Amino acid sequence: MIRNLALAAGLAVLWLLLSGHYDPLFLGLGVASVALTFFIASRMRVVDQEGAPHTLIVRAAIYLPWLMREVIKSNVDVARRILTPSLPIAPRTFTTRASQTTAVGRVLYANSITLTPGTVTIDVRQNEFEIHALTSESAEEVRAGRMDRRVTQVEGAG
Amino acid sequence: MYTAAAIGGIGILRMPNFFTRIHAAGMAETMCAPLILLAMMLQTGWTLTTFKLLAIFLFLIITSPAATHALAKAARHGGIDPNEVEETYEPGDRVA
Repeated sequence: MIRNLALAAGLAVLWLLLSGHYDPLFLGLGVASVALTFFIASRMRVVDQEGAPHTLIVRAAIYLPWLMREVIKSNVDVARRILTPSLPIAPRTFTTRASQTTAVGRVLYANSITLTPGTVTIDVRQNEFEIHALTSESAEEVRAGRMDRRVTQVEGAG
Repeated sequence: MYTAAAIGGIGILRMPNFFTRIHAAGMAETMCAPLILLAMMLQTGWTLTTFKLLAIFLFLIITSPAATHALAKAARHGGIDPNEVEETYEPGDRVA
């Protein structure tokens, strides 16, 4: 029930912010489109933890600034390496374990790894990720598991 | 932001094989694109457009890793060895 309400509220807020029109006709159309979207989502049975993760979004909003800082840090590192004439890279592939239990959590972690320049998730098999790293430092960064723990926190109880 | 895009481009040219080039391309999408959006947000000020730019940013950081991952997986499926160094051409080489 809370999930349905959260989805409807989320859709309504999204509509209001995207439209910018607040006269009765447009608000009526907005209500109609929110209702239709909600109806289709319920009929498709996608209003679950994956389709409407309302509790996850709050924790993800806290995680996002940290992720952006990591992305900027590794961007600077990759940029420095690209511009160094000797091109100091040591590419490697390795596998690592993810401590997340849900599909959403694993997707979030795999995407976070890929989003950070210097590391790309090539394959996901259950909780084993195959990762390509540009340098040994970026590989160590993933192995140290700081990001893994953060994502597991975001995942929480669901 | 132009610097980020330019370094990303230089990286794509300098990297020795497909998988290392992905990292350089990743620079353009994780640094250049968000900076462009940030600049546009500063230009629009505190309006609804700011929110729309933020929404574009969110979509971008969800979809771009998915695309990168698809690319990497397809490349490996296609038989490109991540640890192999491809034949590279120096600028000015004649490529048959």
